Amino acid sequence: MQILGLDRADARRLVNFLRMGLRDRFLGSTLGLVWAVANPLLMMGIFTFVFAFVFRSRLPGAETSLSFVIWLISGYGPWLAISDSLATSTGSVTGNSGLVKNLAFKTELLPIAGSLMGLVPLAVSTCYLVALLVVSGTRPSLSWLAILPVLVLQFVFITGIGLCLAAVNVFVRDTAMVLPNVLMILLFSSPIFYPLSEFPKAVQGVLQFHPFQVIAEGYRQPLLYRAWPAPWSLAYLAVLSVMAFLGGLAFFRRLKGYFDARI
Amino acid sequence: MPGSSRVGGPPGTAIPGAGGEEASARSVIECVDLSKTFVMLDGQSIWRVILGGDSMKGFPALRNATLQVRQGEFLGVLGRNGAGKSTLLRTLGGVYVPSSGTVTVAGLVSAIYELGMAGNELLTGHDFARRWLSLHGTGRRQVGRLMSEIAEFAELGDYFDNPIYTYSAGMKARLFFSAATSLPGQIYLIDEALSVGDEHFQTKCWRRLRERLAAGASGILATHDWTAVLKLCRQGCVLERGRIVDRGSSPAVVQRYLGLPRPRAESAAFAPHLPPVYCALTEEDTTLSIPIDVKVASPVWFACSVESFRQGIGWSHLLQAEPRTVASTPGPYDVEVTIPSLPLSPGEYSLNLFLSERGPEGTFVTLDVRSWAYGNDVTLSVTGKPRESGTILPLRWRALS
Repeated sequence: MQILGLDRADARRLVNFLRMGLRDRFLGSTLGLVWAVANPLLMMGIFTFVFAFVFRSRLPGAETSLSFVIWLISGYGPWLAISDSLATSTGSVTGNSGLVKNLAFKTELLPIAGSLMGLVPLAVSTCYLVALLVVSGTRPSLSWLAILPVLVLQFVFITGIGLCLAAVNVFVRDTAMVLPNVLMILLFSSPIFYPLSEFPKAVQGVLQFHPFQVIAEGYRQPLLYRAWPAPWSLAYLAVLSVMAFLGGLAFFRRLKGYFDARI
Repeated sequence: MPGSSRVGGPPGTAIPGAGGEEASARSVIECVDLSKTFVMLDGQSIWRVILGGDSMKGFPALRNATLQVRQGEFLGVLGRNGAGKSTLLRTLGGVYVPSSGTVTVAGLVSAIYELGMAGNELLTGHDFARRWLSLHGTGRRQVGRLMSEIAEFAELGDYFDNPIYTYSAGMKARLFFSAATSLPGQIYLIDEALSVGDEHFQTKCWRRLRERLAAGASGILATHDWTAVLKLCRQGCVLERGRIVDRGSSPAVVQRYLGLPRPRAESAAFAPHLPPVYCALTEEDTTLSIPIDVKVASPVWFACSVESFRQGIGWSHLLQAEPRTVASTPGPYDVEVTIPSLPLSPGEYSLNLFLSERGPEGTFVTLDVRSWAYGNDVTLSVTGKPRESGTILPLRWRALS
């Protein structure tokens, strides 16, 4: 059975690459895989401390600053996963040139596996968030499961972009250098650190359609307000994700024939 | 990658000009008109390619290569650095997509394209081997057994559990070779990998290859080490700037590759009507009549030997006759070689013939040669009842109490 030109053996290989990527990232460190959990956890801890106890930031109309932290992390957690996914998949082909040159396999598996690496920080931040919610007195709710379709769409979307960036990075290595800066600009241009209502009215209308805003809202609505994300936003994200993924896959497959000129 | 993997083209395409004397054995590696051009990218063409165009410039690393390897055989590919050997292997192995032409490979491929460690040097030898196996789709049940085999073969001892960056170059090569040949593959693509490690390890490498060959493996050995080709391969070819410029029996190919001069055959020569094949029967009295032309009035010495080739071992002498004078005056002669009760079991042997004269210091100066070493040997085809051993000696034994 084949889906999009990938079969069972490829699925098995994908799992292998995931395991490999996870190991290699922390290889040589004493704590090893602990860092996969500790890094995002530390980041979240710092954010909690700074915004809840130092700045005492509040959302408009909210009573505690913990609710701001919860609001922030429910958007920042997925963002952390997105930037991790993009960075890993962008360098996935160039970073594994040994494999690409010596093993006959479908190279598109590398950026796909790279993108899936973002699941780790996402899982950590989501657990942290749930803990915060419970501490702040919120009861767990079934509506929280509504984040699952958003999560899937997020990874489909990011994998599509990751496939493009990974292919371009083979020819223009500057891609991996530019990426962190672009990500920083994207972060502050999207309503992740401050609510949409703080933006000028004119910009708000456009920012609603910002994919990262749609993704962040997809987490915030179920987790914070026990509501399903707006159906139009899910449909919009679904169309966007599928287009990005298919486009990215086609782009990667066209370019991979030229990889041997550069790797 | 189990089963058959193919790139383009209909199956069973006829192979023109791919020296196939005996079509009995199934061909396991085939390529027809295979070309690989590396695109050359500069600042401008990179963006043209990324945005959907094509690059005009390319470097043809492999041009119209057609070859075939039958089951149970190794093909030797000789060539200098940059001749396209690695490109050929990688294209056959499916790492490179061919620019044109077809590749058909039937069977599980184990490839050693370079002794580079496809992985992180921080990994331990143990983890590297495990990773290598899992990347090649080895099942969980097999991994345990293969892991201990790799550890034993690589002879790294306690170092097996140390990170690879603590290894010497030879240890790395040993680890890599052990892992790469651990899978009982059907097809081996080997690039320059047989000269790794010390003599002890090389012996083991050869033994492993012989075992694999005996189990029916096939493959291609690409190297500039012609001695390895002589030892392992019956057939060979030479690559030069991406083209196959020569092919044939590996000794003949090596002889031409090295540009070894052949004796000029002026004073004495084997006659043009010397048959290319002599037939004989096992354990029958055999007489071979060899026509020669002598053109000088001085003693001409004749010698001959029967040799055989075994894959992975090379050539070995079976029968040999001391040089004897056969003529001292010009004219055509027939040298009769008589072997009573021919002690060879059925098969194909190489009949090697030498004509020489005495040099100034008692040495022999070769006048003309028919030998595998010069790629122009004569075949001795022996038929009869099959025997257990290769040569049959008139030995008798009994136990004494």
